[in-house]
Amino acid sequence: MSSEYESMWRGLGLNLEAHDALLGVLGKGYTDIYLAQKDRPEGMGYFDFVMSEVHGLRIKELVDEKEQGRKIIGSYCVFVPEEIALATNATLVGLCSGADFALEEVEKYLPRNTCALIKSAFGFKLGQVCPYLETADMVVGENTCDGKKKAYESLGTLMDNLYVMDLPQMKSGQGRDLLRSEYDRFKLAVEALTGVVITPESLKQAIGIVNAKRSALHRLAKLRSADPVVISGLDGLLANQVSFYDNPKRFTESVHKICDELEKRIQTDQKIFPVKTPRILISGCPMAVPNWKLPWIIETSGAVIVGEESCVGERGYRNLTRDTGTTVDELMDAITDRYFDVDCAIFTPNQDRLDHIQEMTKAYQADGVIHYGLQFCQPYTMEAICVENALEKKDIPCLRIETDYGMEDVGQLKTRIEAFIEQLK
Amino acid sequence: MNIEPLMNDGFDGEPAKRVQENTPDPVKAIARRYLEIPCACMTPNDRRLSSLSDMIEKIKPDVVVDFVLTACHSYNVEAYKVGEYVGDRHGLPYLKIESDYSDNDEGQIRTKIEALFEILG
Repeated sequence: MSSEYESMWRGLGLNLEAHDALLGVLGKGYTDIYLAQKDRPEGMGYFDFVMSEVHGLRIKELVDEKEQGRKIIGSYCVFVPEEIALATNATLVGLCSGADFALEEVEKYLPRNTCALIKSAFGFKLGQVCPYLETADMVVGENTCDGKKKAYESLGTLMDNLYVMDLPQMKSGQGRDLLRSEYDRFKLAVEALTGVVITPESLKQAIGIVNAKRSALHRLAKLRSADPVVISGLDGLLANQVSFYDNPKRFTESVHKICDELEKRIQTDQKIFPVKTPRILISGCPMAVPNWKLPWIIETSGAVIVGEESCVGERGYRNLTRDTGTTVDELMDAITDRYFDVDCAIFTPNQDRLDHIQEMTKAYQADGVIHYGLQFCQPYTMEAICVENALEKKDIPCLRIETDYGMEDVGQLKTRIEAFIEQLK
Repeated sequence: MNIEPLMNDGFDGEPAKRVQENTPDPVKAIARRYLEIPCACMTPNDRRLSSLSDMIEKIKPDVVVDFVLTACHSYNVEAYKVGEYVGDRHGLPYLKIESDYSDNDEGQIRTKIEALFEILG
């Protein structure tokens, strides 16, 4: 697709040589990991197409939207409410942070022992290789962990449109008040950016669109609980990853199409993995495109992933937003309540997450949990110990993995994961 | 050499760092005082830079050594800003030392610091 979109990429200020290299790696990874799978649902063809055009057609759509006066807002986190963006006729996209890039440059700004996700956000900016980032009229950073919070101070020197959102760390009354006031401030900023004032109708409509997207993902998640499984964990993860980039209405329709197909698979008792393949729940840090390393290792080691307790997964889409309010104030309250329930490890204490992992293990009939902590991610790697202890008490096998985006530890991880899977049989 | 975190707290002659007395709302005055502590867990933390400037102007050091505890994200990430600031604003050499409570890196740190002092002449 290089030649077709070259002038668009150049117009966005991308470094074409570096960008070509990135697309090369992405394409090869996708072919080796995704297209190598057998018996994929036909509906996944849509996601294959989205991925093949992830820096092409989708970006062209965004550029076209911009030409029609629509604003593009980039976000690094599931705490940034898509409802508010959509209510001002803006588009919210998740920003690339799933691959190492320009590490040497990045380490001029960030300590070496910063997690790969934060480094990746800097790498894509410094390397000028993320068309989503360069298309965005506003980039929203959020104060989740200490690493991100402090890194946004440096990232702000590299871009002139970074908006920083503060977040609470405790689920207290004051915490909720802070979230509501930050969402009010964000609403004003987005209204100023777009020149559109949010009305109860526009907000309600936006809530409807995002809820429909989440409901489609709920349906997919429920179908993944079937035994035997009807879709691979890699494909399930991909649907979640694409939900951050794609047009929400089109995405919702595509997920439902896959779900229709999966229901037929269940009716006809189609088996895509051998009977009694151990079922794994992944829990922990988000996996952004193209971070497929761990699920790829798991599913090529004799197990299947049935769910992700992750922001790119059930933590991200789990709760719906109440749409019964009739005023902007009531609807903003509903949005605040919805996001305040997200059980990210930046919250303390975070018992909800421990409970939810156990609920998911049961709901998806998982035989064991693999906890994925990104190296140097303090909230998740610290909480991993609590997760392991809580699961041990319930006799649920758990394996704690700490890794990054590099491929150096693949062999070592495979050995540990194979041993864990063996234990589940 | 002075140690910034300790000095910050008891510096005389800077009313902003004392709790304002005889106000109608002493709790608010206390809150204001503590909110001004330039810990790196705050963002943005420009007060740390201005208080560094205050100290540099008073103490007139030849060099700034930034001590970061290994894996302490807040101070480690902020070190980039501090280093840039110390160089740009005050033209001073800056050295970040990342270490923990063990003695294993004593020799390594000593070498770095000796090299720094060598530059100062």
